[in-house]
Amino acid sequence: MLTKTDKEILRFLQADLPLESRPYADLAHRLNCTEKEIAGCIMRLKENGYIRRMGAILDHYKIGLTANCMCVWNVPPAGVALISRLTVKQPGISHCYVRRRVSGKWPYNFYTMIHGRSRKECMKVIKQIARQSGIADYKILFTLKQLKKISPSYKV
Amino acid sequence: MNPREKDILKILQSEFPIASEHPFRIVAGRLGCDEASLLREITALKKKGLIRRIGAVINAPRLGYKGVLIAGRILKKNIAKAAAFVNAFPQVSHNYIRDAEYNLWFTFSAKTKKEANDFFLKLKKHKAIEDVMVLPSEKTVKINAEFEVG
Repeated sequence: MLTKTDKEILRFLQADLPLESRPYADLAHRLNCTEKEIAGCIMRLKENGYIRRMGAILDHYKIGLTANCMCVWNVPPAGVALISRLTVKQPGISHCYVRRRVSGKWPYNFYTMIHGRSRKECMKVIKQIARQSGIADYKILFTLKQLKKISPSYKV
Repeated sequence: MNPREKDILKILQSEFPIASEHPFRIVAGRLGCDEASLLREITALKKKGLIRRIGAVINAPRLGYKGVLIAGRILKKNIAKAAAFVNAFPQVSHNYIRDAEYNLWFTFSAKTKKEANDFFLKLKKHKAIEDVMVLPSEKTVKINAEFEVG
């Protein structure tokens, strides 16, 4: 269960941390606790899985990863474990999900989000996964334009 | 990016001192500079847009949110209209044009089934959208949006 303090901290950390020597000072004052206690709470929220990670969220375009694609794969049930292992250890892949197929329209069930400095770099990752997994039925959808990307604010 | 900027970004992205009440002082110590100058450098990295935000990435499913990926098939001439419609929903966090027959791909995250269903119905009725596919995730294999700063 989340305490009132936990909830306030989760709200606070969804915004941008103040660039100050004591970024938790105001929050601690408001919650009537110490800054050390805030840091302890953040650690606990991370250990309990409410916070995935904490730190700087970078703009991947601005740091040079300008080629981005979603590659979707048609993977038989017995092949999911192997391609999962391959994608997990591949640094160019940020997100990976198994999704339901759409019958008659969309045979793909394994989704990988790939980021590179060039399309060639993305292709290299895809070809390597294809070779190592033995999956030949895949489709590459390059990003032509990013229309929206926000850190969603989740109600706590 | 110069080597100094890369060092700062790497530490802030992957080794943020979460246990400390004064995290920037710790980072400055690791970089061998004083805190005030580090804060100025971070401010500059934000102005340049390399850092979008410093904070927490929330595990939305842990808070009861369910996310789906949705693909829309849209005629080229209607894409701006469809995109504007989709983007107006605060539950949509990502939206991309991709080079495929299904050319608009976006994520929708909500706590209730009703919220999601209302959205799908609106999409299906929308004149600028030829077809939609709703693709809920059955398993999350990997989420690690820590990018290589090279």
